[in-house]
Amino acid sequence: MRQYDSERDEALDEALHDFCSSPQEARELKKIASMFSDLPRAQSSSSFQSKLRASLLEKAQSASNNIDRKEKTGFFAAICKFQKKYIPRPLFTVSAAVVVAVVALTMFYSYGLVKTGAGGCAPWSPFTAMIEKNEPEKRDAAEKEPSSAPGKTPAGQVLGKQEKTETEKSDPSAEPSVSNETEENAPPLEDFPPEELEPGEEEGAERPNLPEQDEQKIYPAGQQEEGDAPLRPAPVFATEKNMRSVKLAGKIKLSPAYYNMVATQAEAPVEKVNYAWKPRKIVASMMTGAPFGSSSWAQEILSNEGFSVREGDILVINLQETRKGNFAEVFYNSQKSGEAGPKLALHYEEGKGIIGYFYQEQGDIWQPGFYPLLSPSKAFARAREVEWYAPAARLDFSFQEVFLTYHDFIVVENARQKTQRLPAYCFLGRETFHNGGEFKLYLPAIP
Amino acid sequence: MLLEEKEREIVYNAQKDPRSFTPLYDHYFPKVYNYIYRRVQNVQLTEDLVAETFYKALANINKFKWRGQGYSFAGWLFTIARNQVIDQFRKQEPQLLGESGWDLVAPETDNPEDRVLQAATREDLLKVIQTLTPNQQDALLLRFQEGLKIKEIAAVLDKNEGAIKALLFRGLKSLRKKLEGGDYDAAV
Repeated sequence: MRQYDSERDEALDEALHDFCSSPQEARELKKIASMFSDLPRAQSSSSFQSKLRASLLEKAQSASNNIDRKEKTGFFAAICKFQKKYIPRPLFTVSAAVVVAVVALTMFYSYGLVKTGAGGCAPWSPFTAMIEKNEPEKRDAAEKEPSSAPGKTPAGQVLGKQEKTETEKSDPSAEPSVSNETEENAPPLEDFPPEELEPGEEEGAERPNLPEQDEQKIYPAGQQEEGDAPLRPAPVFATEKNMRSVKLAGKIKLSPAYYNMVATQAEAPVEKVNYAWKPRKIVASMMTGAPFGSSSWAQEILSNEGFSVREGDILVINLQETRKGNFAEVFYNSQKSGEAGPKLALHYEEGKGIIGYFYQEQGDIWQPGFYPLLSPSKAFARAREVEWYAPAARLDFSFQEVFLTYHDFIVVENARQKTQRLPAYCFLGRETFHNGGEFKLYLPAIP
Repeated sequence: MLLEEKEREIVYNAQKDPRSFTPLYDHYFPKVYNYIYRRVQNVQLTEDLVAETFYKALANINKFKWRGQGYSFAGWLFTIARNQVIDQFRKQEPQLLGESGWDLVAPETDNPEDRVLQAATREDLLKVIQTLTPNQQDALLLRFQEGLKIKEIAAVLDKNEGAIKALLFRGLKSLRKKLEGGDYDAAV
């Protein structure tokens, strides 16, 4: 695309002519410049280049969708202007009316005027349409895995490949029946979340206080019908219905971290350790591409917290429109956490950000339910309590990714130590000062 | 020959449709990677900063405008990359060179030109570059490795063309001096 050889030499001659005291000096400096130009170029691994390329393409795709939406709005404005200008002319008026009618019909259908089971038309729910339009993979997952648990309100999805998104997005025929599919064919996520269960209630027991049909109308993906049901004054999160708390009797004592050595070799801690928690954040301007409540949006907010959402991970998103604003409850199960690992739950308020962190306990270490967690950045603050041992005098770590797991910590109670399994964040990082290897740092995730 | 028109067209397309950003990425990735690696000398950091540079470029490509002389897409992109490097250096303490035990000794010869060139291997040169001031490193890398024009470098470094020529001259002179066996204190 660009080639500069001729210009390069001229500019260099000019610069050296201006500053060098003698032709010999100019000749020497030119040779150095020539050596500089011939230096071998640093090359990245092809996997990094292709990964970044794929990631950029994904971002570009969501940004492009955003532009398309804006253009559609602009198109409507243009029609209005046109109509105003040519309204005195009957021929134009008729033509414009026809165009407007066609466009209106197209827009209604492309935005998902939902047919009800009775054959009538239900009012369009903007949340439903936005989510389903941008989450064809969710629909895909729902179609592949018929529900084994009817009545589970959240629409969960196993994250799949992106390729299918393109074809399905461009297929308007896939749009109209999304609402029913979401409700009827939600994938079987037995673990997520026990929204229907009151604290202490057994699964399968009757739940007279929570009429299932009403919940479904109001809840997932903001499917409430305008005018039929008033907005709730405040959000009601599924996690709150089975919220528990725990207080440790003792104090957690963090184990030393050994880098490139084993505990028996350790003599004195490393003198100087620098560590930073730098999750790969998505810049604010990129976030506009993903509609609130969509899978891409959830991936972005999780990514900003350091959770790297990958293919095969499970995301469940519940949206609520209330008089206080729009809220989302995001359940995330990373493959890295393992099937038996703790599941993360986030409460999010539109315009405000994440307002709560929780995890779902299955009964492995405490009673089943949801327990509050620290944010990864707050949990990372405890890294200062860790003693580092390494063969080097100085260590620099850069941690960029995190996942929720269980880890055995030492708890000290009345001068007695015991091992206690606790929910923990595993921070994945790399030693940067010596271009070193990967390192896993486990820190307690509970407050 | 400079195919600026072609680049303009690609940038214009990318501004209209971000999916058309990929040709720019494919073309500039090796250059940006090389530039950042030469500045930070660490693969992991380089990957982070390169990714951040391209994310920012993609997010802000609509803000890029062809504004007069020296303001090219390459200049704009390297400005983002350079800002990433500067931010990185602000966060971390200076990295000391010379600890690895490498040493350069000027050979015995009467001809100063030969003296420099005999002593300086590519590896030596790579190490000595790290001892230049950040601006000298930027100017030399952008000029002789990435092939930017003087006016483009001036836009990246926010200086005038005369200042860039002076930086190049002082940088080369400093390299020569250090390759002859001068001081090696790191300047990053």
